[in-house]
Amino acid sequence: MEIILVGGGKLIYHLAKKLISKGHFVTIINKDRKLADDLAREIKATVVFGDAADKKVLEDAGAYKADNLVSLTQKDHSNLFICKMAMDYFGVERTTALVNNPENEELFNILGITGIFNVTDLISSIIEQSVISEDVSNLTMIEEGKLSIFQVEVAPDSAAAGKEIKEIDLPISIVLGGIVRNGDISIPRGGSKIQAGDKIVIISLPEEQAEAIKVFGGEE
Amino acid sequence: MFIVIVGCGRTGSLLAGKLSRSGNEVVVIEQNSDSFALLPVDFSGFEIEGDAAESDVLIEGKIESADLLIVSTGNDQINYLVSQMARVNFDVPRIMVRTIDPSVEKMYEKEERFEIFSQISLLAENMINKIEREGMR
Amino acid sequence: MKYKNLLISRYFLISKYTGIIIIFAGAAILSPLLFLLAFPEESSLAPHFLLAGGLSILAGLVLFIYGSRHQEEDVELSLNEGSIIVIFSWLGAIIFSAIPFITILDMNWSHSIFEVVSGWTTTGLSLVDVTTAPKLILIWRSIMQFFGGAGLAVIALSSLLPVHGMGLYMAEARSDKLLPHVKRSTMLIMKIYTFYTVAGIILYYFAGMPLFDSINHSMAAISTGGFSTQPDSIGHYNSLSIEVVTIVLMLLGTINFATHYTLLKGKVKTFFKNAEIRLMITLFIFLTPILMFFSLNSLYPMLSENFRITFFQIITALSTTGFSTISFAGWPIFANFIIILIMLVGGGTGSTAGGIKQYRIYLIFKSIYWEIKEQFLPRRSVSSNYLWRGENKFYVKDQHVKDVANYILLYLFTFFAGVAVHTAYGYSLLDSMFEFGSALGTVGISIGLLSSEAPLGIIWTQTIGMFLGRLEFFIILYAGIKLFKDGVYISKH
Repeated sequence: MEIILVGGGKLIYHLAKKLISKGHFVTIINKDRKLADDLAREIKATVVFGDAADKKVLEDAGAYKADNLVSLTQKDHSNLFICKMAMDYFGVERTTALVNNPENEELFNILGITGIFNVTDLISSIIEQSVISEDVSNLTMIEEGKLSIFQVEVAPDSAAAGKEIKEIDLPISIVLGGIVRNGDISIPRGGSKIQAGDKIVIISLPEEQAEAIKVFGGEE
Repeated sequence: MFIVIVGCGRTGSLLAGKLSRSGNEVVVIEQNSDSFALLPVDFSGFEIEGDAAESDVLIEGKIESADLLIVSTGNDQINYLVSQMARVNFDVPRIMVRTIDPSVEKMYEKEERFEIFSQISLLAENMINKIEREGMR
Repeated sequence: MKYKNLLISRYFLISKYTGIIIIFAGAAILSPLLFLLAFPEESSLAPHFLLAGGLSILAGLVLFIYGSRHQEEDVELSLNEGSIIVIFSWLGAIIFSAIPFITILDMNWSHSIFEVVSGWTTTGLSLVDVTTAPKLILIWRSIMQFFGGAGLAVIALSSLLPVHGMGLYMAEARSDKLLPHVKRSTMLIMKIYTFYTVAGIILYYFAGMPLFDSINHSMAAISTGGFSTQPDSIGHYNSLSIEVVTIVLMLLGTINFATHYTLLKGKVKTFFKNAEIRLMITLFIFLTPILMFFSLNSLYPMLSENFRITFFQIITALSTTGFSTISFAGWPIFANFIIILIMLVGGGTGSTAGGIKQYRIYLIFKSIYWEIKEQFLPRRSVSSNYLWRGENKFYVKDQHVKDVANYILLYLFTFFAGVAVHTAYGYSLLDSMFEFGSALGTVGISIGLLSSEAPLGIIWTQTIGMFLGRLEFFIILYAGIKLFKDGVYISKH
């Protein structure tokens, strides 16, 4: 795939390195001369110096051939503008933008940006999780955080300890993916009994996450 | 008419002053409060200090009830974001956008609600018209 | 030379606008004649009003026509020019409206001017004997308060007359805008104002007041004026329901129009966040019991009576209306002192009331609190302080606090200067503070010092106090300095 990355800093550096190692062809656009030079020295990628919001710079960076454009600047308006320009002028099919203001996520979606990184929500949900319980681990977000998979250790005082799954009062949208007991994994059924110390793998919507953690992890 | 103007530079302040004097209700949104000094002394509309790319600031400017939005900051990217927010989130019936770089105009083409004013294109067209007219003589 | 021409063209514009407002004042002087329909027996007084109104309209027309000779397309009124227009049109209105008092009641010039200034500035101190005065004079006093409360410039701006300009609006001591356009803002103010007045008339009527008195009292209450048709004011009726209606009207009159607008739009929460509303509620909660239990309980032993009387007088002083239900002369010193303090605080900005204004007091106390708070924050912390004004948060800059502090200082300075004049005439300190505080704050309650036998020096000190208090000092200062500077420039070149 041909990928254009817009922005600078460590994030772009590591992202580019990872993508290159996976065999993608990466072009980086940066409007800071010094940063552009540094990136060019350290990474085996084409580095274009210029403002990505300028049509000519995008064209120069090979926007006509690009399959994906990722804009990761600190300014929402720049990210939107660059992505839309790539779509409208150069027919780039997939664009990804960093959203700093969570309120903009929906707007970006409506305007056709295919991938949206909502940093604020992402970080705040991670912080919330780590605050709620230290027994929660392996947090994974799928589809930009629309679904999360995580693991909870059953606390002795929790509502679920010592009960069969069908007895537990759970929201419908929470799915139990597996029970880990002493290193063995079993697939849960309605009759499976939960014991304190089990680790439960849970798939849920992010908004139900806290509820699920409460049921298995117990109260604070 | 109730008009919201984003950006109070030379263009925005001139528009705000004239529209206010001709009897319209005008709200000006501008991030740099010093720019309000550009408004004429008899401007009687509201001045709101804030980033127009924040929904809260637009709401404070009563954008939901605006008949017309004029986006006139000196930054094409901000203009684009604000005008799209106004169209999608607030459903403003009529949006006039000023563009700096003439090549940006195409990005607004798909939506009928946008009216684009590119000062550079206008200037160039004016000059070309004049040159061609004189060439005919 | 160029600057001189520019200046002169500006003064043509000033003359034109002043003319328009004085014509309007003339129309106002004629308006009591409408009441001849109800009181045909007083038609012999009509020529006096026709004379005063006619002279006013004539003077206005001359100014207007003279000013129109030099037509300026682009009107852009600055605050200073607005101030000049406001001052001159007020002076014009005052002089012409004094005529009926001189010709009908045979009062002397000083007393008539005093009465009229008290009317236009919505003070309510009076030298007219209301028991013998004809109905037309009584209604004319109330009409002056009604229009004076709204403000001549505001009425002119709200009308269809060709009057524009933010400068004019601000010059009449109003800064809050209800809508993002002056004309619409002022129209809305007039609508709210008229609506309240009509509602007041109806309420008074149903509370048992005669219709003529209802009309007068409603206009005087909503404008926080306080002229009454009875010698002992609202106390004359000795009716609880009439007092309740009066309290409601006075409160409405003293609240900023922008704040009314938030309430009328149903934003109750924002209403109670408002700086002035908060201060007002706090003052009521603290001062009512203090006055009741530390001073007046021996005078009014019955609790309910004590509350009724205390609460009414606090509101009349705070709203700067000046109706009363008792005589302050018999009150203990402490109670009268508290009333003086309340009169200094006064009503809301952008309302019809006077005084230092609650907003300024609130801001100063807030800024003291902020100062203390910042002392205990990390040294490098940055804070942006705000309070609620109208519908929006208002971020307070240091310059704004300075302006407000200067205003308060100037107000107190004037207050003490006026008190000094009173004491020089031999009145006691308390009486002097009470009377001049009442005049300067355009309140209109009296401790009994004022009568037609009072020396002329006192009458004029109070007249000037009322004028300064209504139009807010700086406006008069700006106008004076600008006139002086321009005059010097034109005469030199």
